Amino acid sequence: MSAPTSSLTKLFRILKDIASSPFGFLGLFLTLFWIFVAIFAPLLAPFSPTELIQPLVKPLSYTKNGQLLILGSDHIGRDVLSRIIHGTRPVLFWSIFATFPAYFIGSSLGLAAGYYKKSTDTILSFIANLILSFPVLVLYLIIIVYLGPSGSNIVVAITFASSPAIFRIVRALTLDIAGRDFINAAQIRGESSLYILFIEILPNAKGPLIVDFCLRVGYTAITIGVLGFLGLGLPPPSPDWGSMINSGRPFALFMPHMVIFPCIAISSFVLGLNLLADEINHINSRI
Amino acid sequence: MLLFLSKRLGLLLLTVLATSFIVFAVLELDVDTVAVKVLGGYSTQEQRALWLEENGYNRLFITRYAEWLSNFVQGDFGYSTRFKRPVGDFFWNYLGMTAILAGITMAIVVPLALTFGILSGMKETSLLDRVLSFICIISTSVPEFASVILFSFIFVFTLGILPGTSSMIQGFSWKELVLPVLVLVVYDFGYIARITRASMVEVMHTSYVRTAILKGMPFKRVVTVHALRNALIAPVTAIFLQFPWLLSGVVVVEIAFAYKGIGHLLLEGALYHDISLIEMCTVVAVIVVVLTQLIADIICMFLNPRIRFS
Repeated sequence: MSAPTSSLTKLFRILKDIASSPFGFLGLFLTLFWIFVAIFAPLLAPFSPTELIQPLVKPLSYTKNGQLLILGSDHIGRDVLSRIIHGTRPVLFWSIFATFPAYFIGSSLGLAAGYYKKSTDTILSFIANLILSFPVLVLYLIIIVYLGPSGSNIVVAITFASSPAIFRIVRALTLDIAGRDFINAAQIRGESSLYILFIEILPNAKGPLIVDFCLRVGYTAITIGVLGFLGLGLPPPSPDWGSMINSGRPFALFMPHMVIFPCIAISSFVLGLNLLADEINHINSRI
Repeated sequence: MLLFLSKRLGLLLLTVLATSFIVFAVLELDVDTVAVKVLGGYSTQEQRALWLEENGYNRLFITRYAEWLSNFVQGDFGYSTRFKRPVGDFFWNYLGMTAILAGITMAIVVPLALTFGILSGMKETSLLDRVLSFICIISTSVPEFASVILFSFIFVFTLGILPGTSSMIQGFSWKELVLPVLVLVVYDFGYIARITRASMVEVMHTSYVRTAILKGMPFKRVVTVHALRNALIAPVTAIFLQFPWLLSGVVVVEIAFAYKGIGHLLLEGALYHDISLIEMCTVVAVIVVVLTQLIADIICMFLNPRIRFS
């Protein structure tokens, strides 16, 4: 059997494993659902997210022109459903995209600290603990206020704030794995340190890392939402969920649909990721 | 044990010192931006230069940091450009309000989360475990700003039994505390409950618990007398490590309900580039975090004799 087919069948088996429990199935379904919505957003949304149709239409009612707005419209007349559908793109894109550099930096340094130990470990751990002693939101606020709110600055803030946590996980895993026989064998074989770190150690640490990745993407989505809620999120035309909730909040008393549906959207996305992470964790611990 | 404690205290001081240096460097290394933030964007170059000269900003960075630090230690926290008052004048009031909020939240979260965790970890994969675990996952999944909206919708708009703001304009009111506390409890308890559950499951699988069950001891007694003590070590650490998390969470809740606490000050300071205020909030937040970690270490030491006697 060739390599790609075997990894594909492996993936299918894992997905089947996850879907066999009801909570795992729900998690997988919600996650894939939002990924699907993000990919096909322009095809699924009935209107453009910035088109002004008619202000303050209630859910499931018609506009003057006889258009059905399933989730109603907001205070300046944009379709809430279309904005939620288009909002999946910035939310998913930035939360996944911001998690990667955090992983790259956190795991490289974690591998180094766990493998070389001694002064490398002492210095890196001290820096990580230093950053971790700031409450995360304080860190985000300082960075975003200092650099200004934009997608790429959110990536900087999240990388800075999450890589120490990833560093700690990878470091602990590396400390454990580096003491095993096959690492010893590789050292005696004369493999380079880089080979040992990335080819021997990292793949063996992937189980817990995949679980953490799912959780972290969810938290990053929440963070982007929180920043949007505080008025520090992605700049206005982009319909991200947190900013939708922030701008709809003054109208929440008589037009609750403007804020409730984005709340349900982000909660269900994060719930999906959490359930998925939980199920993968169960499967990992069974193996 | 004394050696361990003094080592920890030294590290704690070093951390606070280093973080204060980082904050100071980020905010005050570039003196021109300081002048712009204090005098406003429409000030002339000349005015800024004059102000910088007058306030000693043309000295070496490290001298300025040393001066700031010595002032800070002596209780002079600088002047808030947003509130037009020395930071020390109003900061402690706000901190007290946040302490009330966080204290009440923790007083509810801890027993609730431990009960949930123990009940579901006691019999893994039972129906009760499944249901409780699902509730906990939902609790960790719903972001605070979403639960702010959902709870306001239910209790303020629909039922009309609670006030939608907690600004406490007419003096302290318990009723205004209910919603902020409720949101924070929902936000916080799922995580601690899940850690308690994991720890409980692990302890229930140990051989000494199995022995206790097999020798016919009542299940209730096995759980309360044998399992609980060991199962509590991990959650205790988690509870104290929750404080930085809680402090972050407090910001959103305080903004949403107009509660006058340090989260409110922090956002205000950040939005209005109020340097002294941001420095004060950050340093106090860091001190709270490292102190709670120290307390967690000490409690773990008492729960686990292996740490105490090493």
